[in-house]
Amino acid sequence: MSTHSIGVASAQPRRRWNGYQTALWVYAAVFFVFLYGPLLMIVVLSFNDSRTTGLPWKGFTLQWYQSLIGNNQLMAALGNSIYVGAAAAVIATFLALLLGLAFRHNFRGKRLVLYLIITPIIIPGIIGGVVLLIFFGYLGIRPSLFTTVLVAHVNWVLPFAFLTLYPRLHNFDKSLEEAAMDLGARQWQVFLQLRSLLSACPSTSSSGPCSRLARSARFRFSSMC
Amino acid sequence: MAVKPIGRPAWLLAPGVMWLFVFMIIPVAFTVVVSFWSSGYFGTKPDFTFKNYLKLFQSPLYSGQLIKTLRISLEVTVLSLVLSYPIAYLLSRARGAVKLVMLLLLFLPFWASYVVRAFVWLPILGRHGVLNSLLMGMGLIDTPIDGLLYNEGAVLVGLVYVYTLFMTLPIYLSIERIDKGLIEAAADLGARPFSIFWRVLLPLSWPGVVSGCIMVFLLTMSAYVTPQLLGGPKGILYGNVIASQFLGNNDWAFGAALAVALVVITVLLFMLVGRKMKIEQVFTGGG
Repeated sequence: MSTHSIGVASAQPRRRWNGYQTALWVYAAVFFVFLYGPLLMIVVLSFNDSRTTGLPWKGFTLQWYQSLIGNNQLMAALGNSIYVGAAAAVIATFLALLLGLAFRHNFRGKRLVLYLIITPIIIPGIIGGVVLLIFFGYLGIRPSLFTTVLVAHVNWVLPFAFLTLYPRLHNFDKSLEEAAMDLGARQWQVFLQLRSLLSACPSTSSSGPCSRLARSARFRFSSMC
Repeated sequence: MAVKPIGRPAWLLAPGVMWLFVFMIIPVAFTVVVSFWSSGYFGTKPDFTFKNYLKLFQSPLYSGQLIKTLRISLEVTVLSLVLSYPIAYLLSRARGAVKLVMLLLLFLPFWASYVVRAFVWLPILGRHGVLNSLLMGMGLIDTPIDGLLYNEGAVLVGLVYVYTLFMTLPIYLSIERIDKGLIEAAADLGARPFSIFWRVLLPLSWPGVVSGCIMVFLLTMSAYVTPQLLGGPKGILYGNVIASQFLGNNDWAFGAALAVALVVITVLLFMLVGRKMKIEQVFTGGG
């Protein structure tokens, strides 16, 4: 692949390219200011000694953080988020890993199963919550953290876990497996020692946080289930 | 000897497929059933009636909400596309540390909760917000503007802000896959920057654009938190209308019908896209 930059044919177009390039970078700077400005603002305002969220600046205070730590309900909610997040990530990654392994085989109805796996992200987020609300409601299962909320989160992150894991498992170098088998390793040994070490690890560990990332965005589920 | 992939497909598939069948397919199917039931003062009871769907399409209140939400979703999608494309392009051009820093800068805000990212606009657009203070400080206005928050505009800003990454990322991934030699060839042959963009870059990055647009459009169609926080009564979207059937009105049958309508729209959209690309590619940046 050549490394020289675009438009080196003559000096004239190059100058024009530089102009565009500069404009793009200026735009990028503005873009990032808009991306970060509001977030930084909220951090600054969290130290503002004022009862209303906003300006004017009335002096520095830590009282909002003190009342956060002092608020048992809020701290419990924070704990809940962490527990459910971890549990959902583990369950979804486990299910996705098995599905990913299955997809290395040829079997009938593969496309159909693929559609099934990505259904939770095709179905709009709020609907994912509504259908479970109705389903559990009629089953008489009361909404709670480790039943309804957990199920909703696993549903939502499972496709993401699968889509990150599957390509990794699929492109795995088969000759490594063959070598291990030739040397007398059993199938499950091959899996545990080779696949999990070489291929799945970078991906499973990334699909964990990825799933968590997606899950953290699923406030709507939690608020509905 | 060729090695057979580990395990039997049936056993490997069973846990995941069963999970999705029980917790996804059955609930969706049941919701379709409930959408034909009728809700009254004494709860929701089995029935077979089309009145929920008739209510949705005949009452201007609800069909209006649906059309408004479709329009806003389109606006958010186009706006995000225009704002994100240059960033995605720059990202694919950048090298080494610059690229790493840019990617990190792009991702970092999205590790903050979705709710937080929508919430940040409250103290900015509010009556005593940062924007009003700034404008008054500069002497441009005398009294704070009330109309910045709790309207469609605020929802639009919030949604674009919250969902940009879903547009930037797939476009970046698909530009990254373009053979750079093609762009250089076009430039060497004397194509101007705009025609390179229009005739080489855009067509080749099309899968990423489609994938980003679908993601943003769908996310906006079902947006609930952002309009709830920033929209006020004027800015609520279809997602809020659905939620209120369950949280306030207790009209589950009608809520189910509203939900089914949204699913149908979504599925139609995917069928349309499915003719051009594989559906899973939508979620992997067209790859």
